[in-house]
Amino acid sequence: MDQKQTNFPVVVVRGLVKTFRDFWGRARVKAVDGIDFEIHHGEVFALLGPNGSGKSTTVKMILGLLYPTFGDISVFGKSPRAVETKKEIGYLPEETYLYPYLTARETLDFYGSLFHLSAAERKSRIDQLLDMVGLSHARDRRVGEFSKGMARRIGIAQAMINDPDFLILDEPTSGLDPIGCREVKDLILTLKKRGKTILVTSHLLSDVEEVCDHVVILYGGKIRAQGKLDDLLTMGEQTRVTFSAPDAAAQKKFESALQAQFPAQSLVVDHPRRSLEQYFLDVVLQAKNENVSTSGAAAGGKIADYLSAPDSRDAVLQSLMVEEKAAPVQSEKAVEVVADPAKEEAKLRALTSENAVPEKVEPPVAAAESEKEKMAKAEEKLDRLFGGK
Amino acid sequence: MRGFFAIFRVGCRQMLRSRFFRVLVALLVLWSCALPALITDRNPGDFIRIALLYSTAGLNFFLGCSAIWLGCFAIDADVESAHLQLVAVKPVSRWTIYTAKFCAVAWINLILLAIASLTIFCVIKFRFSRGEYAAEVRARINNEILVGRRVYLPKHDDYNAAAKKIVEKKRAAAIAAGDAVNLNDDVYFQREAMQEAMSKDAEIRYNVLKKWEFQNLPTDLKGALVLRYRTFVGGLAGNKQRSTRLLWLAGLPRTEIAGAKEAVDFLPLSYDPEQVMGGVYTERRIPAEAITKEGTLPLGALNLDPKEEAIFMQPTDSPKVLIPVCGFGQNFFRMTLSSALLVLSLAAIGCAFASLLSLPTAVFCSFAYLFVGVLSQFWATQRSYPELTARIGYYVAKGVLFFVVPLQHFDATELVSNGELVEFSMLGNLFLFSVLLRTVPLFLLGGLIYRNRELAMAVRR
Repeated sequence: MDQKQTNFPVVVVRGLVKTFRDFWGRARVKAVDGIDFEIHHGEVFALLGPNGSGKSTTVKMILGLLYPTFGDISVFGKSPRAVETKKEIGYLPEETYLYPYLTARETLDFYGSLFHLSAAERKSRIDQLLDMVGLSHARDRRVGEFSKGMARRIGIAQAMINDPDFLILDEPTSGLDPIGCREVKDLILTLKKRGKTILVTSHLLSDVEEVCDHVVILYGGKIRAQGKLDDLLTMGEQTRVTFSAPDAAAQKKFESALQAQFPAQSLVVDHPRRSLEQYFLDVVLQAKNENVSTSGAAAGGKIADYLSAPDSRDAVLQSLMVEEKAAPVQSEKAVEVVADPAKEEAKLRALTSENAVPEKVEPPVAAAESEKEKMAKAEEKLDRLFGGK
Repeated sequence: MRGFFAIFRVGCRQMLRSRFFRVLVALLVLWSCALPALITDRNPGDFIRIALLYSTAGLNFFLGCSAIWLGCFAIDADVESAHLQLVAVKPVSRWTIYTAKFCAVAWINLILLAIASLTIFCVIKFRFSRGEYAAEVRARINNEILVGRRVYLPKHDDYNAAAKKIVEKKRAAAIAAGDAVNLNDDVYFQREAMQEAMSKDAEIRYNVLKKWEFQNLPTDLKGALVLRYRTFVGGLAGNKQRSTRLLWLAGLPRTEIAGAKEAVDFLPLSYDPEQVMGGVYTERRIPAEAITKEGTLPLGALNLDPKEEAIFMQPTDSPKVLIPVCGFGQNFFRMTLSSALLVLSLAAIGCAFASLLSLPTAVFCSFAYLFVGVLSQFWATQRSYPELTARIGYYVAKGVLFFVVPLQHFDATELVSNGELVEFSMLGNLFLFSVLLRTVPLFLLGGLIYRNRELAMAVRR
């Protein structure tokens, strides 16, 4: 079986050190200082950290652009410098470096050629990608004339041209408007659904929070924290209850009941807020419905077919999963299990107790189902928002 | 190969977009169209010769600079602008990137060379065909310049042996006179002796027959061969030159004369001595029958200067025998081939230096490398260095030439403008010794560095 489809780690980093030296070979900066991590198949992995923490250096070493001073890196079990490794990698750099005299179509054609794609395949993918990033109307414009956001979108398109198994996105939402940011996040979620492995570095933590499974936080070239996002962020000692706005009397009654139940606890009652992103998207949707024109990048179309279609390599696996008849029943039961306060409390105790070894939590089927539902809703919403094109 | 051709195409476009390329094209248009069209001279032969020499030499100079600059630019620009970070993470090897970029540089320069050479050729042919020349002048130009003639040089004395004899003689004379001879005197003697030996070989004293022997000439030649020479009267200074007289004699084997003292007997080639101008090339025709069965041609010159002064011929260019082998078109094409090898070589050198260095540093190092090659070639072909330091320099130059390309070897423009054949053997030697053995290893070394270097050390804005 292909190792990409097993739990074999896509990237293994062991004792990685990178020291930048001056002309005389004297060590000047230790950008990365002995870090270890693994990125597993199908995982969305985030490298976080302030400026100069070693994120980009680590990414460049994973790409084989920089070489480690000490330590080992393997990508798909091979050296990151091996040409075969790069067939499966898509890379969006922090700055989009494009040849300014090439048009959008020529740019994607050039990068497609580097992946040895046939002319017909390139044409088909370029059309879909330009549609996806909302630059179909600018296909024959030179990218030197593009705004930063448009160039970024071409950058994203070139990273996807080979339908990569492993996608490295360095600050993917940098320079993008909120619509573009939303599209990138949706793209990441779609690719994740297809079992692709994604490495993201970003300063925008909200972006990361929404899409990532696993996080590593770097500071001064060292890992300060790492783990599953849920494990790191869940505040098990607090509980939130959300329900549709009741009348004032009902709310007062509910508060009194809670106060009586938990006399020693402080109780906060407020109205939930929607996110600014959500609000912005609603405003743009309204403008779009009113046929307001724009000269910049149009909102992206649907995700390219070849990116959203099931991977042929996963087909057998998927067919096997579909055949599991008990799955829907299990998911219903799972909802109850997750909602079981006793088990939740046990989990909380395990996480909060000192020297506690985190319990290996099996991915709940219900959560997966819920995620699927969220994805379906997101896609449906996007189709509605951008007219399916 | 898809990746290779994609990088090749983008590399070509990158160069065509550079400002340097636009300036280069403007200069080439000016040089290849305007220069041969504008040069005029009272002497039609000189006009053709000068137009050919200047335009082709200028073409080589511009394309040589262009090959170096574009070679450095092609490799380095992507590193500096960080475009390479996107290309190098795709499944193409660094070798592919390196060679594709080199091929793009070579291709652009070769295309320019082909267009510019063709333009020069056509403009010169056009001007010659449209010029109002007498039939005799037209025939002379056709025979002397617009032709490819194989060159034969005579055997010269062994200058070192001759100088050694002179030194011994002078030292003996000095000792006999009671003078102290130390090492410095020895050096002085050697230098003097070498100059004396060379001068003796170049000198034709008044009323003394000076003999040369040309070897390996074709024995089945029909028609005539050409003798080309240049005399200097009284010395090599240009302002002293004046008209002089010289009688040429051809040696015939004296095989049938019993008891003859010499192997050959010299007979004059004309009744009257030739009137020649000092410092100017002169050509005369010699019947092919003068070549012996062994393929040798003994020639003699008798100095009949009106003022009875010695006349000189530089052994490097006079006298020489020329035999027509091909037409002007073919000879010009051969010269273009040597220019093509020059362009390939320089593009490879530019790429090699840029594989590690930044653009300005790589350009500087490439030119420095070529300058060292030119200097070493000059130093290594000098005949004598009596002083120790100069002798060390000589051996250093010889050593340097093992791995540095001497640019002089590529220059065929003077040959073509003199109507001399650009030999295939010369092109073969160029390809083997200058391109394959010197440039290719440097290019491969550059590729190795490029393959192993880090490509994202710094992000420049």
